[in-house]
Amino acid sequence: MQLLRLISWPYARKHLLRYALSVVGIALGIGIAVALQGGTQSVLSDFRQTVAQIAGSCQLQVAAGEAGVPEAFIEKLQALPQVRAASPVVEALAETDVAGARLLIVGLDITGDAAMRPWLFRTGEGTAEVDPITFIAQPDSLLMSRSFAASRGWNIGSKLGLHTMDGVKAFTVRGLLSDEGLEKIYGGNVAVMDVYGAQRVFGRGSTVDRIEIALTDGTALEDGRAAIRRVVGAGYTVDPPSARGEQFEDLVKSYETLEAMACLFAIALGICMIDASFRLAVAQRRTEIGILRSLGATRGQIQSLFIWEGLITGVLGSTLGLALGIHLFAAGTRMAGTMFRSAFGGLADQTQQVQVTPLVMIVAFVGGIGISLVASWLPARDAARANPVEAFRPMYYQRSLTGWQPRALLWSGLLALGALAGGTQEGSTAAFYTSMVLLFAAVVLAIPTFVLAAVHVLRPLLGRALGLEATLALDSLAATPRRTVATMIVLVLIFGQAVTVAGTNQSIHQTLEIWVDRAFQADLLLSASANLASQSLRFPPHFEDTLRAIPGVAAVQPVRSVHVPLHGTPVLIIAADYAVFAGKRGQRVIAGNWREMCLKTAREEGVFISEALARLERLKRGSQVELNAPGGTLRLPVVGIVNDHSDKRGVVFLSLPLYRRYWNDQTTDKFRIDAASGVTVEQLRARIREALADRYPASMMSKQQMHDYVFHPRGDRLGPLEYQLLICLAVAALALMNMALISVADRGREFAVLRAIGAFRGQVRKTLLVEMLATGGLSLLLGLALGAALLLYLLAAVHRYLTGVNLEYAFPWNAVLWLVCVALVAGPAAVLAAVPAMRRVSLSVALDSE
Amino acid sequence: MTGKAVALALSLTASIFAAQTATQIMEEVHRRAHSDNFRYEGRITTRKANGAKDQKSWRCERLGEAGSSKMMLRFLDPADIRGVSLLVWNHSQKPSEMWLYTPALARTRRIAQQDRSSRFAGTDFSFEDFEESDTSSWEYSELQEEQEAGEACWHIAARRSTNHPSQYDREWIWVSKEKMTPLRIDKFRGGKLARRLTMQSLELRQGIWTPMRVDVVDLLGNSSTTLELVDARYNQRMSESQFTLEAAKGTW
Repeated sequence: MQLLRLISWPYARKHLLRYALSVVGIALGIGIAVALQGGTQSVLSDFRQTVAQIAGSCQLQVAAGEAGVPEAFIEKLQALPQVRAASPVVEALAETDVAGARLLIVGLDITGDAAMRPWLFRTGEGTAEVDPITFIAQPDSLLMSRSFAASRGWNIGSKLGLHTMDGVKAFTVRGLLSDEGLEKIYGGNVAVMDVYGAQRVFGRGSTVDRIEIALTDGTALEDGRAAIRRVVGAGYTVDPPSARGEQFEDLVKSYETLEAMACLFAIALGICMIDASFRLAVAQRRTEIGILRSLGATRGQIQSLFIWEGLITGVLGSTLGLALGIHLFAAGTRMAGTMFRSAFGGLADQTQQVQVTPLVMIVAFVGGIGISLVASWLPARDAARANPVEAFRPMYYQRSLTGWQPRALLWSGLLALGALAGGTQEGSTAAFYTSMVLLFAAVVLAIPTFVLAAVHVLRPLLGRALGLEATLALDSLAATPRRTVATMIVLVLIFGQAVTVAGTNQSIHQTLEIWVDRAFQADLLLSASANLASQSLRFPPHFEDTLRAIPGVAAVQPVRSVHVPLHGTPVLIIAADYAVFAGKRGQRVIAGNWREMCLKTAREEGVFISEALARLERLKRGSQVELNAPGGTLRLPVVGIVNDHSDKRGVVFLSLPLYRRYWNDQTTDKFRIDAASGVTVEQLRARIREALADRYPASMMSKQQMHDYVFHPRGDRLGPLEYQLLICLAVAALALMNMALISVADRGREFAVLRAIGAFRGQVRKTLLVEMLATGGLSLLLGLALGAALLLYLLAAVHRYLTGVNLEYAFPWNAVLWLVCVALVAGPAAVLAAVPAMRRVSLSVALDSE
Repeated sequence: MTGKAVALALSLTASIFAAQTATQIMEEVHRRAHSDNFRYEGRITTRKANGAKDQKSWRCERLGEAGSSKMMLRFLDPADIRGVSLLVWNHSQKPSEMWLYTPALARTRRIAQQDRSSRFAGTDFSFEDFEESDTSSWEYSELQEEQEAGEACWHIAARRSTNHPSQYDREWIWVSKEKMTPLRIDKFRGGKLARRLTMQSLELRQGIWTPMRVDVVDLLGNSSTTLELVDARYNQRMSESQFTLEAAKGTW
């Protein structure tokens, strides 16, 4: 401790900026990890809580995806001796006339839900007892969450507008929900409506979204389930409410895997940054180390001195990281909520649990300290090993220059071979991810050899072009590979990560671009809900005729898209008349022939599926798809596989008449509409709006608007990947500045000697600048190569193990331009940052030392 | 031992005799209340625990014997629930059926057995309280003589038979010896006294003692409801067609 106070603290005060950079390095990694991990967990936990709260004491739920359950089942289920209560539920996300506010409307049987949801009838402070008959007798009745009402100054009797199948309708708050009810879910934006009122206003026809079951005392869950199955048949799922949350676990796991990879990268980066910083500290303080050792300090004391410094850096960085993480937590939550919007049906959109769990905080804190300790351990060991005489020698980084290169190159080659072998292993996830780590290691080990080779090539070229300063700069790079390599590892990792992130973004963009271009060929896409991902509203059966009768409409294609369970996982059915699509340019075909698959599907001879579904369910052309529908089990062969991204969990393209027969659902949620010749899209839109006369809240999108919707969902100008890229660029700039400081600190005396023998300040600065630019340039080259390879791995991982989607490989040239800019701008900025340090080196002291 | 056996035999005999007697009394109550049909308009006043007061009115018609009667209850006031109807079909050997019709949605919904314990229209009646059954659906016991509302009464304990599920564990009924009509009914749920019905202002209408006022007290919820009968008449012109789901949708 005394050593810390007498030696470390004055040093740290003197090099505050560099220490700050190390601390910031850890803080960034920890902060991002906490925000992303906490955000995902919050969204998932909020969704689970929403499901559990709505479910009340329900033990089983009867559902058929979004196709709904006929209400006729309710009485049959209520008559079962195993069933204590069977209660219908309709659930919809409704737009309100309050700016930016959406309400989760839960339609419940108000006359008889006391058995299932006692909180519905519980009174509390500020709540009013609701007379169920008065409530249901007036279909505009709402039971509003107290917090939502209070936030808008509403009370019982207040009115608000809701977007329904019949346009915007006024609803009246007839009661307030007590705190223990639905208040805690969907950010409190919840209202309860009578189930049959909700059924009507949200276009459910004679179906409800699900029937919730409470079993009689003493009935085992499996017995109850079996009895219910006998009543409803195989076309319906009969699962506990928790299954609804579990269906999304796999999806979240995929996201978490990507997240873990990003965190792993941040950790590697943190270790490298701290390692570089501590190596510099050891280099700068070699005289101190020599004196301490000469005065009798043991190797252990020297080592523990640096490890303590690492520990303190870790504690500071972790603390700052936690604060940053908590600050970024809401953003992470929003990000995850947006990412899973379609999967959760919007139920996790309003997550407001901005509390990081203690476990995440503890793991992050300990992790940050661990990273710092690991990173400081090697420099500390080197410092402890130095004997007192060696410690007084200058240019610490020049020791042991070339001894380990051939070995490293050999190892690098072997690791690269291992990476190649692992990367081609489709069956083993572990082997695949290990191969990615091997690739990292191979590149890191190859850096010294690469630097020497690059200097060998560049030295004469740059020497001729830029003069003696360039030669000196490159000599310095070659002569001090330890320092150069430490910095380059950091930069290569950053640039590699940036390329991977930007490449993934661009690959997704390019893939979606092709999909949007091919999948949405109509002039307008009319959706019953204001939000395309939402299935809250549906058009009634006769609506197609209404559209056809509008002047200027040339063609109308009804589309029904519903999620139905396939082997327990919800997949999206897109039912349409595919005979019409046979003559059009179709989606990108993976297997089969577009025209043939459309015609066969239209003739009800088969279905075609998305590539993601084929991958996840291991389906090929000719495989049988078995869908349990209310009208019986539908077994059809796969007649084609296409690249479609409507749903991450997979899509089945089915004939609309076949769907309607098997699911007994005559509603439609989307229409593809073509304008007659001579009618512009805007004219068509105006005519449809006029014809609908606000009876429906429908949204209409042209192809361009669809494009904008897919690439920039409302309110999300920057996606998670763009944020990551920005962070990468910032960290790259920081790393280059750190490198400049390291270089000046290590070569202060060299610069002083140069000045003493007549070099101008400008020449010294130019030397340093060339060194920075060369380091940045070489790192960029290696980083691009690493990023290109990693992108290949990542896309393969997405395809094979995560979503089954085959993304187009797109190298991110735009991002490369940004990275070049960073390398070019950060170099001079780093030199500017290092100038004060250069000035501090005393010429006489330097010469004395020499 | 012998003495104990004799005492036990006597006790059993007495309770069997008492049970038979209680049943007979209830059969007599039902016999005297018999009519082909019954119609009244009810004015309902509910007083909540917090002092709030709520008023409603309905018209009620009943057709047939207690065990197999049909009942239609239609709200007249206030305006926001006017036309809401409750249709009840009672069955002697199985649970009754109940439907609620809401004109605003033009929809009839079945009230499931599980939901019959819910309060009806914010009053202190539950849906189940509108069910009618004959004596075969009940097991009567514990016949005692007691005074109630100044009248000599039979105090009878009643329990639903197993084919008629109920929210109540048991009921205590005080039957006026003179009028052979119930004056008070206490209903127990989970061993606790949940509701008390007090029949008041008894009038002899067309030979049937009719309570023109019924007070219901929810002893667990601390609220009470008064039902005042207006224009109560027996044996009017009624037909089966007035007690169907279709009829529930019509207007009176």
